[in-house]
Amino acid sequence: MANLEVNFCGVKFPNPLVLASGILGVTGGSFARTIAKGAGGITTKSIWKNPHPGHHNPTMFGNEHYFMNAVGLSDAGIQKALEELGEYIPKRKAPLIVNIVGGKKSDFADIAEALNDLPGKPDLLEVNISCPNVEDEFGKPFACSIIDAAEVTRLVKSKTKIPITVKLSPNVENISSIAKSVEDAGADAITAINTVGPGMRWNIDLRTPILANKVGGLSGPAIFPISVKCVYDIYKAVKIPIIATGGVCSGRDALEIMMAGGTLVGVGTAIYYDGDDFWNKATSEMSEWLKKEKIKNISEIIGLFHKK
Amino acid sequence: MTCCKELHHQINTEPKVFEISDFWEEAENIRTFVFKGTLNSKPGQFCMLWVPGVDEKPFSIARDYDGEIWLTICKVGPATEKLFEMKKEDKVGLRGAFGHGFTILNSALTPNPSSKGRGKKVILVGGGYGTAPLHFTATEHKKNGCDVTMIIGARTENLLIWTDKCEASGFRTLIATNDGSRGIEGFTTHVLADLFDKEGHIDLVQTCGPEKMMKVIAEMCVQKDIPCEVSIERYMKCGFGVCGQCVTESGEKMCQTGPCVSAQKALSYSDFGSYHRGSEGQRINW
Repeated sequence: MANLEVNFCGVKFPNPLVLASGILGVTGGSFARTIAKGAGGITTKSIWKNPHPGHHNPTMFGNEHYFMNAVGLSDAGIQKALEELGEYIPKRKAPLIVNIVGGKKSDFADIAEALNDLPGKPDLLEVNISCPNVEDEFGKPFACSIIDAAEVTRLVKSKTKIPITVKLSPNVENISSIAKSVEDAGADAITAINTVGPGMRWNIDLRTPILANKVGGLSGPAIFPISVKCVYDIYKAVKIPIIATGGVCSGRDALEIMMAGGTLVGVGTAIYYDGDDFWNKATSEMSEWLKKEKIKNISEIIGLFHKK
Repeated sequence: MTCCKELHHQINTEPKVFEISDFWEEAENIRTFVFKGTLNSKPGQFCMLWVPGVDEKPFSIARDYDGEIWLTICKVGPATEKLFEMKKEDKVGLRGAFGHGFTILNSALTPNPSSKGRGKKVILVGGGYGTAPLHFTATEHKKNGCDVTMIIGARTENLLIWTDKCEASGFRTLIATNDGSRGIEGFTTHVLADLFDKEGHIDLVQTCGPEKMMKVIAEMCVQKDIPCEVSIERYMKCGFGVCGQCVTESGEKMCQTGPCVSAQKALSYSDFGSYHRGSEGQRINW
């Protein structure tokens, strides 16, 4: 058996596959079940400072090629999150990444600070500056500007000792330069990528956009090539590790994006296609491939494409 | 990329458009809407009904056979208010059917020895508008030769729904109202306890309605060792296992594992009968 364990910012993950933010991330019960089904770690959905209702339905749909969502980051706010996380963190059997979001830059700092009050600490903070579905509330996502991205990074770093990973948007001219700016601002890691777009789909019989928000982020198999390219480019540009996410639907996809530069691999839309069976199916596929290739530790393949 | 070849459920979850072909009042603020077509659903499953431009909400399916889909809907918020303003031939979106429905028994295979040739004994208990999907369930049991009893309850007579349809379908129909305005004065659980005392072997109890009622029924059945299934309502946002809004405390997705689960399973969920979660994931007591 190949060793699937990876070390990410000093945190040991039993395997590189982590639940991406926004999927199933509502309750401690969900997290525990996902770990029991074979995930290497969990990312919570985005936590806001105050309760945030999100968008009306339909908020998501999919087909064999892609998935679209505009959930609008519904959340009960930091106070409720502290209760939920306070119960879960001491009992967790694998690392927990807490994803935070804000409409103002100072919100990110306030949430990071509030998380310091938890009796047990999350393993990582993921700073979501790249959701494409909340633009109306704060203009363009902070991930679209080198200056804003760096400023949010610095603010969060000043309030927490937990390692932070900054989640970037693919919807920018040069993702490498944004990655470099958050690295220089003190980020411990990068998560790439958030959903692509936003995109738009209409129902022609009703002459109505399918998503209540009219537009939504694109995920799933169709965006995998974009994720691989972004991760490849970021790996070349920075020294900090990457959580590679976006359209990973199989163990082979996970291996490919790790070779492009990912240390951890975020998995979201694959749950739509495969349900909870995804985790064990994918890790088995990865183990078998590594065994066939006579690779003992999965960490040996991280960034492999850059070594040729 | 291997995922697309191995999908285990509906691949395409874009809403499909249906015209309202008919509707009628069941009770005050409760209406049944008819759509031509099918969702290929099983009793106890649910679908998402999209009122374009307003919202999309989950509804249990009251009928899905003979080329018609029936949804019995209570007017409770903006989406249903808009729906109640709609006319015949107006269009809505439907997607589904989703979830795990009720078990349907087949008397031909192993008849109930105590039912004197009338087939397996099934008791269905509906509270409030939970009665609608049970008629669909009862119809399928009856097609398979089962002996079906419906217990229907509501606070008062004018909130009772589907009683006439149950009687017309030939199900033994027993009614309870809290104020005694129709049927016995009391709860459905009193009627059920009475049947437990009087009837012989009961093959299956299924229930849909207020969660506190279902919890009592689940406990009664487990105590008597009678197979029982309940339909658990949670905040279903996506309907297909992605958003995580509908999970129980144990992390089980009620849109896929449920809504219909065994009494034993339901009683193992610490939130069953106590609380559910709202649109932002906050706990709300029943």
